Amino acid sequence: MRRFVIRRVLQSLLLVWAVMSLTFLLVNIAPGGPDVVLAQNPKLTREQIAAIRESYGLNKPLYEQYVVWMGRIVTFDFGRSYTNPRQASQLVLERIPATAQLGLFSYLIGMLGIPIGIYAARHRGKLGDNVVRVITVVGSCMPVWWISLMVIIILANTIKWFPQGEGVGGVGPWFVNLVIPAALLSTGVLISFTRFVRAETLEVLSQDYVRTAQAKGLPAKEVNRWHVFRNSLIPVVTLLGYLLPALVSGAIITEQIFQWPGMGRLFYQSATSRDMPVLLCILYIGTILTVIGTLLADIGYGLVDPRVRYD
Amino acid sequence: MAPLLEVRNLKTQFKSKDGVVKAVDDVSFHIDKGETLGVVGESGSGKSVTAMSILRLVQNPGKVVGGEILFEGRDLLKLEDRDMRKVRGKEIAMIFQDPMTSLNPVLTVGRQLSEPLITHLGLTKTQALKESVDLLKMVGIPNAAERVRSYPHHFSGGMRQRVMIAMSLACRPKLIIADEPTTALDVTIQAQILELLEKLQAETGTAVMLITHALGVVAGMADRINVMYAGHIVETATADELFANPRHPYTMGLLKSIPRLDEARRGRLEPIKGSPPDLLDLPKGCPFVSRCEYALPQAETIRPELRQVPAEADGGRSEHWIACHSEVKMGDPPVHEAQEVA
Repeated sequence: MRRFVIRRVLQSLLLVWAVMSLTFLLVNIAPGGPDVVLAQNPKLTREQIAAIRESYGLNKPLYEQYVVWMGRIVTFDFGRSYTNPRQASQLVLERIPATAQLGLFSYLIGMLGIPIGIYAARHRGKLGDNVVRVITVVGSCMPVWWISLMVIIILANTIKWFPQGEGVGGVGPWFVNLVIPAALLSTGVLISFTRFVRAETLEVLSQDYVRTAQAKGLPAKEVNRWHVFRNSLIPVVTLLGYLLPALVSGAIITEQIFQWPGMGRLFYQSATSRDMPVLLCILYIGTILTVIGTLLADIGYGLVDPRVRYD
Repeated sequence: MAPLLEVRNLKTQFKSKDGVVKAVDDVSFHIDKGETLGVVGESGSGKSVTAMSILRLVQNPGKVVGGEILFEGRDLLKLEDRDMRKVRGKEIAMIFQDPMTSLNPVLTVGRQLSEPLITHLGLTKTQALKESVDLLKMVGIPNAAERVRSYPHHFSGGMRQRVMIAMSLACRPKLIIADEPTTALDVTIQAQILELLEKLQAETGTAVMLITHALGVVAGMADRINVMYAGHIVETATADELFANPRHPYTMGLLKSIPRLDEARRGRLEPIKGSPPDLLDLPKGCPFVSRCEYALPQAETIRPELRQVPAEADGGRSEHWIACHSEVKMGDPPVHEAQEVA
């Protein structure tokens, strides 16, 4: 187990390096870049642009930039933002609490999919199950941004329940402003959990060992807890890890739509203004989160399923 | 003395969109205390459904639609779910066919053995685990004290079936239903498991209902044998009587189709021609009529009831019943060719 964890952590570090190198390359060969932004400004002279380029180290060959950049990101230094005199990493770090708040909250809402999935499986073919199935299918067919816009139009304009735009202080508005974006951000996770848990539970319900447990005369509660859910929820552990980064990537759209002052919105702004240091910093965090999610999933799987062997 | 278990006119049906499948149709039999009843028949003959009906574990869309299942005088079909749970595992235990899938993969063997002990006998976890070790020893698993902490995937198929047997014995039930307990095992392991079952039965005095499609399995072990076909019992007799003097053409067909080591070679084995009838569309008369070489004209329209015929083995004292209009014996020349079944 310990050897497995050490090996997987080392692999993960390698993976982060590979992903970041590729990202660096892609960002730098993409058309545009800081030059375009700078050149668009008519007040800047050639000399000024050259000076700015030099101050960012952009006049050096790409491989040199890469080596310097790699050395710096290890200490979480992404250099200055192109659009703001401050450090890119600082700009990003400021935004993390808002995104974490939204992400955690929507993750919790998403986990409601577990009881919903169990409910649907246990009432297979009945009304409740059919309602769940229709909603999950329809829900997974509609893009989140579209649902979000519809919800804003209905809640803010049609029935005027909730304010439009950024929230004001106080616990009440904070909750209201958090709940709706979080609920919408969670739809993907919620639907994944529901469908996954429903399918797994149905699968386990038809297993021979569930019949064995019943034939032993165990109460239904025991049968469900130790023989059905104990097995059907194993893959959910994996899903919990894999869906972790989806909340950050999903937040890009949701935060933009709801003008949530988080990392996702900053990412969108940086992408449109070609603020590479900020962009790379957010991608770095996303990469690390993905790798951690996968790592946790792998380790968690081994903890809940005795059949998994680490060697 | 009243029998331990008496099944009367049991009917279990499965509703499907094509119609009603009469998996068990008007089946009556009994099991005495300490007795071994063999139930023989091919796939789909209703053996397993009969067993699941006794424990009331028939899964949807199946349903017991009629009859009585008297266990020590109580009708199991009329019990509350709560009381039925107290019968399962405690009074009547079951061993299933496939030991590879019948144990929960994520719980230790000790834990799974403990469950019925805790539920039915009120033992504490520690007591139950100690008892589990004894149970594993009883079924011949070496290092039982360590093995209780192992998971099912650490055991081979034969060992897992031993665990299943240990589990069924946990609460000293009065009846064990073994549903094809050796079918998924290879032949040497089959013999070991049957020997073990027989030994434990002798020690504990429980009755066994041994379900199998292999006559060879019941030959050595069963006191009496029910032969089932298309949801009906077509012949019932003591094991000695049935093998010496089969009277139903289906039983004769089964016996002719298995190789015998104790007799001179008879040449080719004879299969039973045709295939079993569609349970959705059973013939009006005898279900075996289209495959029968001895069928009388009335078998087409009148379903034969079980009737007693004179027994030859055991000095003629035992009972022998068949559901057949004909009076034929093994070796009689066919009356006609079996009809071709589409």
